[in-house]
Amino acid sequence: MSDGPVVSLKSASKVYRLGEQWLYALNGVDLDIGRGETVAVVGPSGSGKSTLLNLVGCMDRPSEGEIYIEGTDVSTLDQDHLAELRARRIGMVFQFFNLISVLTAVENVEMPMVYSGKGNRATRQDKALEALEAVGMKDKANRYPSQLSGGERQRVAIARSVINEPAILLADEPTGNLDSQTGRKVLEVLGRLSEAGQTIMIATHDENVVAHASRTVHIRDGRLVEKEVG
Amino acid sequence: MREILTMAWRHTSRRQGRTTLTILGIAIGFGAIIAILSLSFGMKKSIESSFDLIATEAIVLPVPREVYDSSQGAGQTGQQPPGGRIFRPGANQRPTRIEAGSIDQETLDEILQTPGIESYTVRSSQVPLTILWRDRQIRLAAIAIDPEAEEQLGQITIGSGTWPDYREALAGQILVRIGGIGQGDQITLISESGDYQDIEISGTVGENREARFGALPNIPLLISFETLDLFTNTTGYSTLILSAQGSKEAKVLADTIQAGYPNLTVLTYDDFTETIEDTLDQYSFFLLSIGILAVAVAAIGSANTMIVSTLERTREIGIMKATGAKSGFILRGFLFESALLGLIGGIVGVIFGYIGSNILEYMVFRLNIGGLAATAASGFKPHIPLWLIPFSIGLAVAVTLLSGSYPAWRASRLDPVEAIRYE
Repeated sequence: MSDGPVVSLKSASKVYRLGEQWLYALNGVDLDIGRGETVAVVGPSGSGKSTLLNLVGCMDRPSEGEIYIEGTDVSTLDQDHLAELRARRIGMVFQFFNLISVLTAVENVEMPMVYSGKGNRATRQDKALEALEAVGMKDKANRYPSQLSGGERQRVAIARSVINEPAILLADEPTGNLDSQTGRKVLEVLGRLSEAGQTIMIATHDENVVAHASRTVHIRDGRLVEKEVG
Repeated sequence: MREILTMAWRHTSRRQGRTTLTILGIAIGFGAIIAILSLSFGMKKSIESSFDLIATEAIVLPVPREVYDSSQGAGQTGQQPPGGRIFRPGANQRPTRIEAGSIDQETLDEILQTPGIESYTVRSSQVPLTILWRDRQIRLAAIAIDPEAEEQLGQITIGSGTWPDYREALAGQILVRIGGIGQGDQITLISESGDYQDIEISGTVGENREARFGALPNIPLLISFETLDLFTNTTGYSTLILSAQGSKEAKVLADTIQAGYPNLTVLTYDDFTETIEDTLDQYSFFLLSIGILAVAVAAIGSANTMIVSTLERTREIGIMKATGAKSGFILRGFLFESALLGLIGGIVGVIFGYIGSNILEYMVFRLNIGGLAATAASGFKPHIPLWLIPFSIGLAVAVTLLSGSYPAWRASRLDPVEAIRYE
């Protein structure tokens, strides 16, 4: 584990071709995120927030520039290495929870450990239950996603994202599909993780989320327009 | 691995309608193949089980004669040159009828001088007779046999009662079933010329479960030659069955007689099984083609199910990939699901095949659809060899794996960003 930034983007761009035109979803972004930081990425719809999260989350590769996760250049890794990195070092929380419908809460939480080949069945289950307990969902561990409310599903998704103790937790509009009260509970969970030293990057429109961040970056038309310390 | 199996099972069991139909398709395809193969195996097994008994026998039959009308020139019967082919009196002349030939007493005596004959029996041609019994008239064909020689040869078995003596007859299974005639019944037999005689049924023919080419399963009435003389003056024999010491001796005996008597057809076990197996192979090939077609349809059905499944679960694939699943994990998951369909389909297919083989046996051999029963041996049962069960299930799994490989590969190649956005 390096002492440098957990995430570092060097002139990272993502370009899509639309007919004869080239569209810059992200244009020459430089950004470092230090260990334990909670960074809120704010910007209007289509500004490039999700693209930025996808690149940092190793779900996509930059068209130009470099991205380092804990000092490793991920720009040139193949799909299997990127998948391994996603399983071991990156946690993802989505706006629409994205749990697997045929798995129970505890099984959903276990899956990143299964993908990364960590532990045996008992170890995985114990750890998944611990993670569920941390988000207040242990008592509903054996329920299927369809038997849970939106807030409960999001808390299970957070438990899944941290099961492998990732270098960074990426959350794309985590409260965007929740009512304000439920959203507050989810933010409390994220807040506790941040206090525990978890590095977090959140794409959001929610002012409450921004208030919890240690730093906020604004993005417009694929460029970081200002950086401010929260 | 356990997680892959769990997910495959839960996905399969959640889509009950689609899964059931797909499994049904696979089961019908493989059931059809098993049923068809079981008939073929059953037939061959039945023939093989009788090998020891038949292998030492040779059957001598007269070649049927073509008879020409006098207006066409000669009014003569066809002459038979060496090789058994029949000479026709004129190039454009056609026979007016075919007469079943017979072996006369003189020829029989000559043949019996051939070295290597251990025992023999002769049978008459079929004699048309009418039975009068309990105010009913039944037209049938009787055959005269030599009861002592038949008993020794063992091709005909007695179901009940005794072999027929003078003025007695042995009722065939068909007469017992249709006519309701049994041992001890008194019947009146009337010849075509109107002669009638009272006859007692001495017994019934047993159900012969072995493939014997002289077993006479469908002959209604068997009488002695002495009883036959009461109705007709016909001499000569329609069949001569010879028994040799071993199968090789039987073949030598058959070849010797055939060489000396080109007007006769001499058959051994080999000729008999060859004929049956040729017929069987033709039937099996035809039915197997239908079975293979059914399997192809099942494979397409399975591929379709898996393609729909991957489309429906595109978002789930995206979630799995986003949270760290490699392409291989996704590929294995869908392949397992395909294999699961094949496994269940294969198991159900074996059950369908067992039921189907019994239905086919009933249709083909009992109802005689396709006329195979006359060619086939009596006492046949479909046979599913043990190896066919795991083989069929394995093949079902292999076929569904093959048909599911493209959808699985496609699923594994999905881009996580695109997949997770899929609605």
